[in-house]
Amino acid sequence: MALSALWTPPNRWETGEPMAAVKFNTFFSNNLLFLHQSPVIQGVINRGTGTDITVGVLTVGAQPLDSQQLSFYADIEEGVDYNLSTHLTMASNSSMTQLTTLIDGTTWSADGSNGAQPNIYEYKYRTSVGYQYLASFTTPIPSGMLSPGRHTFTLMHYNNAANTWWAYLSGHYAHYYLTRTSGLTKL
Amino acid sequence: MTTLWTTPREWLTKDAITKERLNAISDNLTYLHTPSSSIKTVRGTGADAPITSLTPIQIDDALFTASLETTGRVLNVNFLMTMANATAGAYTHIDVLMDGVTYLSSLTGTQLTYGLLRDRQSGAAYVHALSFDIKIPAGTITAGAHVFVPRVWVSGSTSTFYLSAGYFAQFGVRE
Repeated sequence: MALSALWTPPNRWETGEPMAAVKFNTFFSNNLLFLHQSPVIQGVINRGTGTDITVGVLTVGAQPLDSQQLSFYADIEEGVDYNLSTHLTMASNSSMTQLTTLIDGTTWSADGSNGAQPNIYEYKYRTSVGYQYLASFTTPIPSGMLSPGRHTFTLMHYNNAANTWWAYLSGHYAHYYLTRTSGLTKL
Repeated sequence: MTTLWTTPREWLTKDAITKERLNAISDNLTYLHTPSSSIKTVRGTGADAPITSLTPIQIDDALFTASLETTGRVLNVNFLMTMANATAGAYTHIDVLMDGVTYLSSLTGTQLTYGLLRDRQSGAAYVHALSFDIKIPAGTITAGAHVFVPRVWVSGSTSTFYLSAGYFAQFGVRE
């Protein structure tokens, strides 16, 4: 049997139980490989090849920063905690930048709520007009918040007036991804 | 010394269960519990570092060189320092150089134009923290001994990284 990085709940050994090779591969080797290769990164890592984003907004409310470049799907496992990490260079022409994530178009990442607008933003920043800054933050997605299976994550920003925001991907490193917390300290 | 990871054994029928083979499992569990890391922390004992270079240069390699043996896992890189540029509007950039040849922003020998972090000074000499925490996906970095150092450059004027009394600074790499 070829090894694979696949997790199976460890065996509860019984007295007299045969130590078959398949069990050693499943419960030891495959589980070790799975832990060693965790956390799997699901999402976006931009190494300067993306296109800069300009959002001129006249509508008050939360809207996608870029539904193509800053959105991804990820497969959620039952009983697993995740971290959602964002690293993005931004600027605005006015007001405050407020960022959060909308999952499947319905669920806000900060508190799992399903309202039309988020209750909480994971990131807020106010600076001078046009001054670039790094939005770097991590949001815990606890087990049970999402059902097992595939989900879509979209980075959202909130506009409180007719403002313009910029997010920089060309020539910039940026990431927006989900990782299991397995093997890591939980937030 | 940290116990290093070895590729798990593919067990075959009638394989002998020897102490060496069981200890190999134990060693891997030990590694997963305490993987390789190199965290460099300065608690007010360094000298402030003025940076005027327009191309990547060290902050203080004597303090912030992270050396570790990697095994092909996800690599975590974290950076936290306090700095200020003397001129409003000036940019400061930060990247990480691996083995003297590969920048982590681009994974090539040439850093991205704006590195891993680009910061614009909002007011002259306004002191502020710069930090990031990035992951390099599993399998990206070849397993083996590697050396990581932060590299910084400015668009103009002087960016001072504060390492003297009263300031906390950290640069770390861990699997």
